Amino acid sequence: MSDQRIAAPSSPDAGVRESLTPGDRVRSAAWTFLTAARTEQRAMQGNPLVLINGGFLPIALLVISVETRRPTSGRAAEIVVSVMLTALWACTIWTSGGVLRRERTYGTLASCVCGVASPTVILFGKSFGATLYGVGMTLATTLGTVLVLRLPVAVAQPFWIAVGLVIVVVSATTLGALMSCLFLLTRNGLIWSGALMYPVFVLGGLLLPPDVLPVWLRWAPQLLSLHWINEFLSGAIGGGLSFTPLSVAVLLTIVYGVLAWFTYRWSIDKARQRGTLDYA
Amino acid sequence: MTTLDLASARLSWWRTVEAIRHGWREHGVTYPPAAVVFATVPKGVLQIVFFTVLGGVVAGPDQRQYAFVGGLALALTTTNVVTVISVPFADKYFSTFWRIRTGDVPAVVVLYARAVPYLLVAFGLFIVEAAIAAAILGLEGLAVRVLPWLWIFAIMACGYAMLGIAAATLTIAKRADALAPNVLGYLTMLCSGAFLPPGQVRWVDAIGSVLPVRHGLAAVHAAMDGGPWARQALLELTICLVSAVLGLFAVRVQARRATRYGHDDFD
Amino acid sequence: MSDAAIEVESLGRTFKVRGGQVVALKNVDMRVGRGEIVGLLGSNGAGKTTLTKILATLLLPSSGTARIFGHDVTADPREVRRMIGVVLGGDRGLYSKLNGRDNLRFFAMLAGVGRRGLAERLDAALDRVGLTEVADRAVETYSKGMRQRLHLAIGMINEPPVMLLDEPTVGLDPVEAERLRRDIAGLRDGGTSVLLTSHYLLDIERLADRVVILADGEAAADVDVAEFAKLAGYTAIVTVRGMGRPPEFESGQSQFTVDDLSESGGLWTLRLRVRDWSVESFGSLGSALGGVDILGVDVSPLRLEDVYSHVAAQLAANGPSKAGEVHP
Repeated sequence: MSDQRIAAPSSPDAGVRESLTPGDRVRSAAWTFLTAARTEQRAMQGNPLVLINGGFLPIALLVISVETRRPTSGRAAEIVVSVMLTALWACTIWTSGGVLRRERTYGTLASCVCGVASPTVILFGKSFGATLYGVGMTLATTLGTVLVLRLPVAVAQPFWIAVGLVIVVVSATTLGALMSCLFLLTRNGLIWSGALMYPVFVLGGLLLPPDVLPVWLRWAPQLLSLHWINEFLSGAIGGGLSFTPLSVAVLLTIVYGVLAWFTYRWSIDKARQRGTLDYA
Repeated sequence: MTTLDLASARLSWWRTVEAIRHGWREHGVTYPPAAVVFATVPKGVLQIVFFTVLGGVVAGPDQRQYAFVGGLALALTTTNVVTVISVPFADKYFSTFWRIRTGDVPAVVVLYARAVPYLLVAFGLFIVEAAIAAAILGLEGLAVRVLPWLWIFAIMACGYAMLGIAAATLTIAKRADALAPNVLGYLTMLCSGAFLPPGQVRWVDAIGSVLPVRHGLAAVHAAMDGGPWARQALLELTICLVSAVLGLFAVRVQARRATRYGHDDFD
Repeated sequence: MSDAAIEVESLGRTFKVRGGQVVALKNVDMRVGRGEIVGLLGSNGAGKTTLTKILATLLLPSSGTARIFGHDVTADPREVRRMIGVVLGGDRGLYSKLNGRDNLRFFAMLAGVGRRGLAERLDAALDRVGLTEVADRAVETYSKGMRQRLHLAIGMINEPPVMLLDEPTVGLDPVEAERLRRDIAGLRDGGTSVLLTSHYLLDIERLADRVVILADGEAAADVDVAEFAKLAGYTAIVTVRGMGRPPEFESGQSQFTVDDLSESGGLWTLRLRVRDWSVESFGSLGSALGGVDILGVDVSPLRLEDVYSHVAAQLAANGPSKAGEVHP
């Protein structure tokens, strides 16, 4: 038999791809990211999950935290921020952490990971779109509950609070993307992702301050960006602003993002090896 | 016509046992042992730990003990018993409800029978989680004092399960797998008196008074304090029975809806 | 007990939708006799699945009556369900994470099958549809054909006298489809009456004794399969290729009707519809083609697809009338 190889058919835009400049690639990736984010937002419109997790949990946690024994003014601000971030974590599990789970349910997972556009950019875009919804809902509900409960919370540094919230969105996006990979690695992703809620509640240094943890566990909150954002936001609200927590939070967010990038690629390959991309 | 052993087909014990057996098989594939041991059990343990420690953080050592008992109830219901919602959800997801509603066994019996293994496993896991959490928190003595009142926890579990099935069946068109358990879970967290003692917030008390867990928890606290507990326990049992009737109602509503519109996909 | 397995009289079903309503069935009359297989044909939206679901007691009719061996589907659904096996097919309708045997066992219990001899009955049902070797595998690992066969096993498990099959061969490859047809043919051999809906005329051709065509919610035709073939008005297509001047066929000539004539570069292709293809008509064809330069002749027997296309075109042009009044 001849050893001739059949040349791959040249695609219509093969020449175009070769001539893409770095700027073009960045614009193309940005377009993919934004389209994915917009698609996810539209898909989540009317999703009751966002309402329940972003809306209900802050109310429940705030009421049980402040009505058991009314806090002082300074403590109230700390509780409000902690509750908001705690609720946001729970919301992240279901919203941005559930992106790939929803793709599986719709039967679109294979298209998302085996298309022309970068699957990682798509995942981050979708995670971002979902996170925006969750953050918005959590923030709105928390503020509303603070007003209804007439908690004595004053905002000292609104600009830096806004900066902190931006970092919250980015951080939750990367954490959500990382968690999403569970749904490629296991058929029981829902069980495993649900189990991630309370470890962060307990060890995250949010509602439970690190000093109530055993000494040998007090390092754990330092690995969570939300803990550092908690410190930063509490300072911004209370007037004791410090940029160290913000810097650490940003650093950790970058680490999560890189980790999510590699984990996602590895998860896709694993799923393709096992042939589980098509399973709902 | 061909002959067939249909003589005593209707509601026989054998068919109920078959449905329970089917539920057991379903549970095994939906909640594999590895996921149960390494995900569900730690979640329950940490939930108890979280609420107990939170109680101490916000309101001192007495609240810590109160919150431990409440944390037990939350872990039992919102982490373990909530899995029964997989039963009505499976019929939505796999489009098998039409065979169940046209089968020879009443649909509600099929649903409840399939839920039995979920309930039994949930209670078993709860015992394990409670023991581990008590050891972590150094509250072994308190845990031992709760032991004689586990039967009240069992009533709470049944009531929660049946209300969960009713809620999931009724909301089955709208992402029941996530909506129903989350709504019920947060209502229980807020209104059951698990963390927030009765008498603190009136509207919370009002909502909680018609939901499972609240009266049962009040009975447990009263019993552990040496006070009268029978009335609260009876109220918990009543809510359990009402939840069972709600489940029956929910199944009938969905079956009628399906027959009226001609599809069981509920989309 | 009524003589007919299935009787439908003036059956109607209307669905309310946003902005109005959809009439899925109106005034349908049809009958399936004992031990008969009736094929239900119709375009998408004609009402086939709606009719099947009404007979399966999954859906209430808006008007009219439907009976299974004399039992009304609305008034007596429980008795009806004991007499029917339903196969709606598709990828859903099974607990995919459980194996085939577990699915069959559970649905057998729901269908009223007793405990005595259950294991043997399950084995026999699985063997009958050729799923014994995969019975203990999770259904999610089954191919489409295997799932359809499992659906059929579930539908047959209580040995019902009436089977309602909704597009059982959809999505199957030719080998799987043929296998399933053999299984269905076996039902009739066992005395079971079958109502079979399908888009595949091959199913009807191979299995059905009679054909009912639904159009716009009404039964537009109800004929024996053999008669159905005559509805097109011809039994064969003859394709003649030649060169030079093509032959002329007079309009109204008894045997042959010109269907199509195409010419290109001195060559022509003529398609003729032949009313009754026989040795004599072959002789007539030879006479008609005398003096013409013939390059080749092909004779194709009529396919049911052609019949259905003809009937569908007539219905589209004239609308449905009473059952049986579709003309060639």
